[in-house]
Amino acid sequence: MKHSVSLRQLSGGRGVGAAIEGVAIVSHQGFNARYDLDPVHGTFSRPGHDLEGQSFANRIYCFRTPKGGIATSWALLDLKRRGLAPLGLVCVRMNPIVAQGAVLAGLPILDGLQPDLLEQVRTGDAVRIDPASGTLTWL
Amino acid sequence: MNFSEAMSLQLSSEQRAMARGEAGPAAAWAIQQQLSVGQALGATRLRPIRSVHAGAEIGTMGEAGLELVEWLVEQGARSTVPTSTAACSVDFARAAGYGVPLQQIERERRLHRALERFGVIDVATCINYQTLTPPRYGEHLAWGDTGAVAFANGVAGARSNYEGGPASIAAAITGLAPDYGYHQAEARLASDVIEVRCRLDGTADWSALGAWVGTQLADYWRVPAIVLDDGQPQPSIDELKHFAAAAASFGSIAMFHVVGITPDAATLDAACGNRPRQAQHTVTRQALQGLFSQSLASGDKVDLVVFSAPQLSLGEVQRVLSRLGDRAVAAGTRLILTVNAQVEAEMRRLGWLERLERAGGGLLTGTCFYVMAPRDVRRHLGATTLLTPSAKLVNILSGAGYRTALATLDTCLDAAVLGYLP
Repeated sequence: MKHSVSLRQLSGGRGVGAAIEGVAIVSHQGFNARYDLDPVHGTFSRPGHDLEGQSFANRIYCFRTPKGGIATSWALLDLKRRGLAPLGLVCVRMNPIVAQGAVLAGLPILDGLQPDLLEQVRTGDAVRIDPASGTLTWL
Repeated sequence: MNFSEAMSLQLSSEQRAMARGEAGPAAAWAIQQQLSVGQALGATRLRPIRSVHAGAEIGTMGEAGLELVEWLVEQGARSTVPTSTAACSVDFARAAGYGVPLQQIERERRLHRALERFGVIDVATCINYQTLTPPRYGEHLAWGDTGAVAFANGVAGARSNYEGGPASIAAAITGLAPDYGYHQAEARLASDVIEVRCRLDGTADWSALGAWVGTQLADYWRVPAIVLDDGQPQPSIDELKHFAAAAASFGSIAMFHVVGITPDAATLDAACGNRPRQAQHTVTRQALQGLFSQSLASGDKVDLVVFSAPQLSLGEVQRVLSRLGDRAVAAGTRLILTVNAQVEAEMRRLGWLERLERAGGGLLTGTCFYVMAPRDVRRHLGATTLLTPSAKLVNILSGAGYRTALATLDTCLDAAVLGYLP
């Protein structure tokens, strides 16, 4: 559950891709497909990761910020082909790599939402993200 | 992609025609990728770039990425600017001995056949700036490997964003890159001041500093200005390379200044310009020491000692061999160096490869330890504990089931000889 029941929307974001609806899965950590994921099963394999053992497949993946090398720029397309990719990505701050990966895979991506994404969204929340208007809305 | 959205970028008539498909489907794919990414990151236009460093390796691109590259080449796509390749996920000569799956080796062969037709210089290296050509000050680039980008921006004063795998292929086709971020002067000014209150000695110390800075900033758009301790000797290119690679790995850092050392940082004021400072940080020896030997204790058996991430320069190889001296690697421990084919060729000519192998050490070429199926390699070698002077390698491999620790070059070599952490 989100902190404030009155808050129905985060706004002010920037992104690209189609608007989608889905269930959020939230990580308070950074993300890199090579560092954090089991490449075969697409589950989080990094010990101590706050989603260790879980999968972001077909969820709206909300996380802090990308980290590390270029892996994510390729990996999202291959994960999508195998049914293991998220529906869309929302982060506090994106970098070029994750934007390139999302564009390649045709996944919507959004960042820069106010108020703070990770303070508001909880795993299991049903949300709609719309990169064109820069919003995340609870359903 | 949403073409109407992307048209918020200012395009030339030629670029518009390319986006409409008039230069063929491959060029249309390439420019549309760039327009969408540019849209997401606030680019106002595309700008010409002088070279591409293409990150393409099967480990992360998989069959989907491979089929895309093959399709592009089939459609007639060719690189229009000098394009070199980043580290590959296979050392073709040695992969079998490391348990790399045959499917990965075959796919990597297909990829490199396609890339050759595409027109790359297939050097398979993450240190193109050391062994192929250094970037020039002010030169706009579309480089892939993130450590190489941080080096090009920070050390050489060239201008590149992280152009990851598909983005680097797109840039090679169009000869353009979305103009935002580190192509622009104001984004390159320092946002954070890092005061180092200890002496740094060797690549492991610089790698630890990069890890510390990356962890603190953890934001692609922040730029650290490093102020070195009084009396700190000037860093070598190899030390700066390890700093860049670790800062990129831990914090997605793509640009940095070292005051008095890097080209736009004659003074701290010059590095910061009029950009508001986000924070001032102080690094002590204690803070850096906390990054060393974290997950291994004195006396623990060491299965692997790996010099990698980035690949070693000829100078680094010489240092390893000279510090190893005439000692031999312990039975039950492996010493592995990763290099590119250019460095391997010189090692052969100079008799250094024979020296390394005589001491019980091994070489991996054209790849980096973490890129070559690290989970399969771990199972095949029956290895768990790994010691390295690269904080970047520590950062990556813990997710692949290794117990890794950072150590100085000398500690790494002592451990290789003893078989355990001294």
